[in-house]
Amino acid sequence: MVLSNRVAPYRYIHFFRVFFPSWKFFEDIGASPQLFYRLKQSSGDFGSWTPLIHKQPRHLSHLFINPQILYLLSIQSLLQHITTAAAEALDQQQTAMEFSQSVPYQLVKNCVIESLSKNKFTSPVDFQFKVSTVDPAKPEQIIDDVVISDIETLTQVKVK
Amino acid sequence: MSVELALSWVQKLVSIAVLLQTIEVLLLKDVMSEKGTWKWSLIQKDFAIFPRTIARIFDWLLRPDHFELILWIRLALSVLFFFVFHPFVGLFLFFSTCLISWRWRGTFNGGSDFMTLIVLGVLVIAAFAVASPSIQTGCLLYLGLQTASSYFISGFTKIKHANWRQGFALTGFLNLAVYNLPKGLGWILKNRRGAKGLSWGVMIFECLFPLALTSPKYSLVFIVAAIGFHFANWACFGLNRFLWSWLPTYPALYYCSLWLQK
Repeated sequence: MVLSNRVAPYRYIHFFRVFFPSWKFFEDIGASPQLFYRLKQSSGDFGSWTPLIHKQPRHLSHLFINPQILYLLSIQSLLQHITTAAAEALDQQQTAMEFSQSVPYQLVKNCVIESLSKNKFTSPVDFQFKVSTVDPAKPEQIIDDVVISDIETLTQVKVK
Repeated sequence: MSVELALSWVQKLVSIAVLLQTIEVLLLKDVMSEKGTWKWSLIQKDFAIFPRTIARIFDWLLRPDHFELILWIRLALSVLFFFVFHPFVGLFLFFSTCLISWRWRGTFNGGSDFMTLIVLGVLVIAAFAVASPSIQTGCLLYLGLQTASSYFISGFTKIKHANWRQGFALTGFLNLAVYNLPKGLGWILKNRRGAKGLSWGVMIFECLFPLALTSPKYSLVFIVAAIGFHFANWACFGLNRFLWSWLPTYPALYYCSLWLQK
């Protein structure tokens, strides 16, 4: 993938941001990106969009060691990244094919596949995912679709 | 409290934080493996912006088997650092924290990574300057000021936004949190006054935090309140690392309050 000069400085900053602490936590609330998926039904139509990430149970042990929640938080950060990356891709007039090869897109796709693979599908299943912004006051209310994937096929299925 | 004692507390508490952080990353080994979602062969593409030699160094360090070895060494050195205040041990912990952040495309857990690096950086300088109490004092003062400013900046940026002042922001963040609200706090989402009151409580606490520097008594009060604050943040948002990353800064904050009274 070729990067334009315009993007490169941002990428460098992105890498070294760990050296530039920001203490602006939970600064303001706005439309927040969330991840949704839908599966193709046996009828051939797609089902409804379903949120991929759900509220998790809390245990006191999580106060010390909390890898699964950290992983979910990193996916939430990734959704912010893909939202920015999608806006940049539009600015640069990237094709959908080019964007689908980008690291943030591939990471989101991997997360969806990993999550869906936990289901006991016995044959390959078609799915789509999308990143949409939602209203934090009513998270079930979608404001805008940021990225909608092509139809993908989950081939990692359980053998009967 | 002497400089040595304050530094010793910072050192011991950060070694616990690094130990817990390392166990967490090791437990995510499968996610980072070539069969996982965050596989190195994909993340590696991000490093193409660097000159080839630097990209190759990153590839050598971050390929799964090498990275795992680094994490195990980090785990062992975090235990060693609890007992031994040596600059090169601290330097390795600092460097490995950077590597973990880069492996996760910038930072792994945002603010907790920032604070861990600041604490480790301060300790490395202080350990190199064993013969210079003034430099060690400067390190503690810097850490104390960073701690106070971390709360103040966070509170000040909130108070500027109407969504925070009206209580909408807190409700929204809680709606989107990874955990359900702890029992007994559900009324916040339903009660406008409750959300507004709690929002103002958070903002006032954060904005007033620099008062911790003005006297050792205030310092202790704010430290106890801050521990409760981080506990609540964990219970609501799953941010356990913030508690462990901020704990090592409190001895420095307390030392600052004593130093400023002299």
